[in-house]
Amino acid sequence: MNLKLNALVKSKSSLRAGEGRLAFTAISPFYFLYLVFGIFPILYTSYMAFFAWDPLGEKVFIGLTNFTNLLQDEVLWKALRNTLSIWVLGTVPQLALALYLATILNRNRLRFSNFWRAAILIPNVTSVLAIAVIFSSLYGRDFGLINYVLNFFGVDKINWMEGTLTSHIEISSMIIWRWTGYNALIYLAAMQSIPKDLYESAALDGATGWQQFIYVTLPGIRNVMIFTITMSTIGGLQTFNEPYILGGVTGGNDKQFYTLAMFLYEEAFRKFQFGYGAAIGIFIFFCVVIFALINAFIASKIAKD
Amino acid sequence: MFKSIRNAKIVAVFAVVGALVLPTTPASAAPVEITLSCFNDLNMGNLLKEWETVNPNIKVKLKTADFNAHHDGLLTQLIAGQGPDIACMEVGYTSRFKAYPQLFTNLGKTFKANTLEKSFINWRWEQGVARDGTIIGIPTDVGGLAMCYRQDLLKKAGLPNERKAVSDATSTQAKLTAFAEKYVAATGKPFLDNVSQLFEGVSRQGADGVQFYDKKTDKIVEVPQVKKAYDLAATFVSKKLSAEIAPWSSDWNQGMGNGAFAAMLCPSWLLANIQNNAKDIPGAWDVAQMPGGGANWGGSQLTIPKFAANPKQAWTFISWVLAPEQQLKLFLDKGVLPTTPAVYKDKKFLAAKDIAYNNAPIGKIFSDVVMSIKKPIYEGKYQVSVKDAYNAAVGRMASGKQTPAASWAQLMKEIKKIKSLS
Repeated sequence: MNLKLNALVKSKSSLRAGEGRLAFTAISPFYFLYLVFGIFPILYTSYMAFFAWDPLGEKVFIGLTNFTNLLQDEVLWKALRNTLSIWVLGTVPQLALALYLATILNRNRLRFSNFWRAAILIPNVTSVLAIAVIFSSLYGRDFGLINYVLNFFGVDKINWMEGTLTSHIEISSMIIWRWTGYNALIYLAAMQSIPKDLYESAALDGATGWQQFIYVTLPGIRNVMIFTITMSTIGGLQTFNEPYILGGVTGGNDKQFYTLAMFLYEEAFRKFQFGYGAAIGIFIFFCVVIFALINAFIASKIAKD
Repeated sequence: MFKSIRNAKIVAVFAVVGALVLPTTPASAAPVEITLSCFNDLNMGNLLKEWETVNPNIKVKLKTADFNAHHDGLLTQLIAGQGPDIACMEVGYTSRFKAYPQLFTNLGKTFKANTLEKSFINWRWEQGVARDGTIIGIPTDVGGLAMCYRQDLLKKAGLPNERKAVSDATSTQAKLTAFAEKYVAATGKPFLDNVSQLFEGVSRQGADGVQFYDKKTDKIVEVPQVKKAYDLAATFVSKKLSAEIAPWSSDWNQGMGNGAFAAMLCPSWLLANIQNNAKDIPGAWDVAQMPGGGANWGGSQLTIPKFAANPKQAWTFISWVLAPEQQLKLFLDKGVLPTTPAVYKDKKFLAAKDIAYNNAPIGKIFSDVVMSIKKPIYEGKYQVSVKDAYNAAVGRMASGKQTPAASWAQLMKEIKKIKSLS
């Protein structure tokens, strides 16, 4: 926000009055659309959350009842626990793997590097449904490949989606599959902006590959890492597609993989409690804010060090 | 939610722009395209092809989505004031839409659909009529309930495998359990596919037509038959008589072909599915009576949403595709059970023997079941949520996660929560 303002102030001084108006007209479509599709829904959702809102019938103002009911609803806390667990299981290995892939892709000696760079993005642009079909048969209890392999090591058949941890593993593995390549490319772009002579002087000083990675690469892509972590946090708190497609809309018999977004969906669109659904939406919003603040705090700490 | 509204708006804008840009063609020559939105093609693929030659001026474009996504998305669309020309819906979900008749074209008032009522099975017709009398949907198929079994596997296990003999040997819940035990003892393999299907089927056998909803009061109730079904499921679990393969999973589909289980409940709409998955073993499956008596389960309606762009053309198509002649073709093609009983007396219908089912006269078997139903199950507004909760309870118990009693107690808490919804 600050950056934007500064930029605006600066640009104003270098533009004549007429040009300024032209510039604002030129960028106004975005802000108009943002107002309609961004700001308005947020405000409207906040408004709805104070009502018992029948989509086609009465809308009764009930004050904070939706929120007090929500905070006492054990399903909310279960959904929050599941969401956080899937987020951790899905994000940590994903970003580590992405970093590793990016360093490989960044090597000068790598052959067909353009091909590999395009190839790792394929999981991200493949239809979620197609991936889900493959993952659910991989994890099939009786005839799935993974159980088949585990069987060689003497592991009994696992009913993946039935257990809490196992279902989270299945869901996170699909998230990892889909998003690793995407993050790897972002890391790669950041790595390529690091000046080559830094590596050369490090090498001259006798730094090993690992030391170069720790002392040159990581500091060089720090800002981008913070960006990817923030983005995956926002994405992780809204996890919906993967558990929905792999395990169904109910989130499991014991709601073992029921996420916050699934909770919102079920209340609003399957039980028609739009007001309650809106309250869940606001709850998710505050969770995102809290995690974003934690991220910003850690980031500023690292920057100071 | 705003995402789909937004998309709808964008589409609307494009539609307006398109109308301005495109030159208008003479109305008589231009074929109209109507959209049919559904969760699958309702096995109507060949009929849709035929329709192209019957009426080239009305093109039907089929749009499908996943079962739950279709129904949930449809409601959102309707609330936003949009809708396809024809929307199909499964009966469990129809009960939800029937609570909002104002979202649909009243087929009675607009197209005099009530004149057709006589040719349909009475109770099946009523499933498409809202409590205020609005006719929102015309029934496409009816789900009579029977039990499919692997006659070859039963024979190997030294058990009776003829249709009549199996029906007799499993005619009550106690007999079914004993029969399944014998099979498991002889082969060491599970008898049934899973207990959630068993629960759903048996819970529908209440003599008074009540499963989860009372028809008179339109309220959620608990009845002994449902508890009985739950207890039967628990017995099957504790005696390890079921393979516990989740319905609609990939393991389930494969299991129909590879002998992972020897029997499954089969509402008539499941026949085409079993047939597809058991292509390599023609004649291995056969059909017996549903233990404990017939019941209704499933079926779909075709509706015309209030916001349909071409309701007239939509009705022209619906009245053709659901006419008895077409329903007969659909049955002969895919085994879909007609909703117009006149077809049940047709020679071709009665003579139809399915090779996939060991030449069982499936028309006769399933139409007998349907005609024997006196008090069909009534389904209410939150049917889907209630059913989800019961299914989850059976699942928790079946996976061994909870004892039958603990799972039932948790279920009752959840049901209480659903009851508190308006």
